[in-house]
Amino acid sequence: MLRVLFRRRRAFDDLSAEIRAHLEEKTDALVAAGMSRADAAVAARRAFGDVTRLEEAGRDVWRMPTFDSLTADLRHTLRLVRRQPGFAGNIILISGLGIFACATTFSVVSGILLAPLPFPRAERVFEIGMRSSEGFFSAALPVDAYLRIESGSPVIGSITAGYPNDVSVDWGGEPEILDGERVTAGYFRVYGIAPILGRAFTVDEAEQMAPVVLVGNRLWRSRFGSDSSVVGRSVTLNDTAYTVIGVMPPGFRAFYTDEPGFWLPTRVTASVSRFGVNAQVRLKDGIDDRQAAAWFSGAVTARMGSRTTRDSVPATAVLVPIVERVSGDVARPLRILLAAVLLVLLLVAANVATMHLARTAARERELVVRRALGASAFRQAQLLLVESLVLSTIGGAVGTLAAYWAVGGIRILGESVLPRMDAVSLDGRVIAFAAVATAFVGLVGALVPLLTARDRSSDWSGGRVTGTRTSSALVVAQVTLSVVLLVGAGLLVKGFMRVLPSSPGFATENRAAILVSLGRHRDIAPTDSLASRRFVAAVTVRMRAVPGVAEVAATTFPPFFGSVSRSEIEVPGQPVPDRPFFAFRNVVTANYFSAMGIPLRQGRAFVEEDRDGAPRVAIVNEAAAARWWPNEPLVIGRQLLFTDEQRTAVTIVGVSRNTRLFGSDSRPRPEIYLPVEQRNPRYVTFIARTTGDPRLVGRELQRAVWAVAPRLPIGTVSDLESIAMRSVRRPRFYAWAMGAFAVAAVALSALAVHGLLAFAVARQRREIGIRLAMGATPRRIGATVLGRAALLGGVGVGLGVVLARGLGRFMESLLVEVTATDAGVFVATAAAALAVAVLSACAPAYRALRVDPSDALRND
Amino acid sequence: MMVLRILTREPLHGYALVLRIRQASNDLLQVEEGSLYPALQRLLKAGLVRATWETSATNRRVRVYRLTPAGSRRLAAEVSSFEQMLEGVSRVLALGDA
Repeated sequence: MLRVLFRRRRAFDDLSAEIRAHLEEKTDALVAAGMSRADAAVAARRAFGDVTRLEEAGRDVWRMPTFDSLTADLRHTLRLVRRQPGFAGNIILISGLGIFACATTFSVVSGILLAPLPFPRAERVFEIGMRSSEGFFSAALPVDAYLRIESGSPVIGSITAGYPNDVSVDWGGEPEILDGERVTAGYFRVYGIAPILGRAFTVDEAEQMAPVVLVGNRLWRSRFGSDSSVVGRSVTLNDTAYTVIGVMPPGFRAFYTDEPGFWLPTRVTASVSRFGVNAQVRLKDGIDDRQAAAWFSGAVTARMGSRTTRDSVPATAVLVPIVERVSGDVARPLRILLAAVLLVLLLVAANVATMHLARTAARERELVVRRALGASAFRQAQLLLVESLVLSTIGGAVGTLAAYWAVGGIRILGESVLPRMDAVSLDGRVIAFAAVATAFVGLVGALVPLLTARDRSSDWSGGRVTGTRTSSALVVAQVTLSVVLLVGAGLLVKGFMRVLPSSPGFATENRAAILVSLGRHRDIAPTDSLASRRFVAAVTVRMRAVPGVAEVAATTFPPFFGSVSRSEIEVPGQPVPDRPFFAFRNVVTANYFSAMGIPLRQGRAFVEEDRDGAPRVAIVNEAAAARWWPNEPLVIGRQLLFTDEQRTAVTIVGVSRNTRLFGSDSRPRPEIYLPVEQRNPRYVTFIARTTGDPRLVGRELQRAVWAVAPRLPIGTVSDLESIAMRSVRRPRFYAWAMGAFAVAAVALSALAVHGLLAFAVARQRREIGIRLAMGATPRRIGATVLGRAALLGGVGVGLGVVLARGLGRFMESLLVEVTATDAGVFVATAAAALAVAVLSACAPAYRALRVDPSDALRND
Repeated sequence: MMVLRILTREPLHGYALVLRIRQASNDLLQVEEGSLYPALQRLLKAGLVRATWETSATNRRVRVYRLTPAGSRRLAAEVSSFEQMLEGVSRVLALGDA
């Protein structure tokens, strides 16, 4: 292109020089024929013709007409930015915001859902899970089922099993507990990866559970200083010397949110993993996933049917694509967010179009003059198109740049909220998306005024305010879209509020929690319940002595921590139902209910007398009481049988209020509490009620444990409040994102209503002046303007509510927390949108009131 | 076409071309001398002629135009189609005589 321009410039110079030479030669010839030089010069010019025109005609030969007019239009647009910074700035700002929102959202969606998983041919890798006949899915595969599949399946290329296994690392000082993952040797074949340093586990190492370990890449960088001589070094894990045999590739975490610190070898036997295993397969080449799924559901059902499981509901093995395990549960909400941001983009385009339309109408005279001077319709369209595209491109560039920074922040902040944040980046795909979005905004911005202009070209002389109908339609569309987004955000926020642990049934503020697993205590045998109880009592005493701690209780499964234990029970005197009763069971100290602020509805809490040898007692929650004794107001003294524990009987001594067990699940579940003193607590979480910030006593609480059991590996101290919030981090993130879109949408539609009416008032100054002169009261004028806003808003809100009902149903089908027919949300949204529409008309209405009739009539 | 034909005989610069055209047409073609230049630019752009700056016999820097091979081919084609047309016309006339 530059070369062409350069060549052209030379051709122009040559042409000028040539013409000058021609004129000189002719003049010389005429002088030679006896003319005076002055006359000769004039005659030469006369004979030549119009030098300028001809030179121009010569140049025209070289011109690329579209390109030249394009540069002219480009210059015109840049002049426009300088001369009307308000108009240009608004368009740049709004399209920039739209592109920013789009690029940011799309980069998250594309990174999580579209970027390939960090291992080869991931579409061939599946997780084997169990689905019960009732549709309940469990990722835990029973060990015997795994062993049978492993020993002979015609569809499997390679198979592996594993389970999460926290390990304590002794860094030479106080022991730290890190995430670990136990896997079989097949792991590396299934995922098709290899350690970046050293080697993978051998089959023998896995069978013997040899003391060898692979270090996770992040841990390698943070704790081993990326030292390549780490291979062969010894680390103390769970009090045993392990040899590091390799380092895992960066970013590899299979389907975990966080990258494990260590991978350890394991075999699969019933004794190693009682709770089943997570198994993954890579299908054999040539086997498609439907054949494989058919084989699995056939083969594994038959075997499970012949076995008496605790959960006697029949279940079949199912294959779940590994990508679904990685990002399946965020895919739907992310798609909703993407849809929402596309609505925002639509709104932005409509908004930009409104502004262009208003401006085109305002400079109608200029356009008509250009037309009269010979500008072709095509040329005029090109001008508008260039203007619109240039402005939206500047906006798009600014927005994309801003998104680049935002994505960097989101990667860090989103780490604990969403999976695969390391794959999120502003890559070529995102830039392409942003470019398309930018072009869309630019095209809509130009095409709307153009198509409107076509209709009115004939009746321009009438001088009426043109394009108003299109503007109104656009404004209504924007109000509609903003209502749809607002309702969507409202439903999400409401759903979020529903799962928000604001009233989880227990106190969360000033409660520190620390998990201690007695399985790691070498001096306490698993069956030594007396020693376990003594340990709990001793640690409790130490913790209570920590300054700032008011009360200390202990529990096996604190709410919101994610781990629970279920027991199968029978209610004596009632027929055994087809399906056994299940309850979540929890072993707690006597003061647990007071320390957690859980009130008792009936009976009493545990007391000191509820010890070994005394009658076995239990406390149930309201949900359990209502389920098992639906028609009895008083359940104290009733008995329960644990069918999975040699039918041990317990007597109910109290009924507690329901608490929420899981953060995102508000349904009350039947629960049974048992006293520590009559049980063998193996996992204990100490809950300390503090007088101040619970995080301040964390170190002291850990030391209290180490005072009783030196060097016992324990986790870090957390506080119930942040754990409660963490359990709803995803709904909160979705609600925030949607809320931001909705706020942007409402702001844009308010701007549109304001812009349209301000423009209309400015154009109708004369009419308003006449009306005022004819005796209309200012109040009536103001009411007309506001009435118009209400009409626009009303139509928009009406359409929006209809559309939003569809969106709500769509969201409801995708997200459990959302209820589509939430009348409250709809009414509030409609009212808010209408109010915003009318409010944004206040300024133009005020301006209409201030019109001075004589002034308005004189100046037009 | 006329320009191309004249250029087949010898390379010429603009002014000389004007004189030659006038000569060839016996001063019948009275056009603005300048109108030659846009035509030359078109030929240049189409690659039918090329131009070089040279010093003329009158010791002046002039731009001399030469026919390119493409220009010769074009001329041949146009001449033949012109002749075909002429042939067609004379046949029609001959028919009318019959």
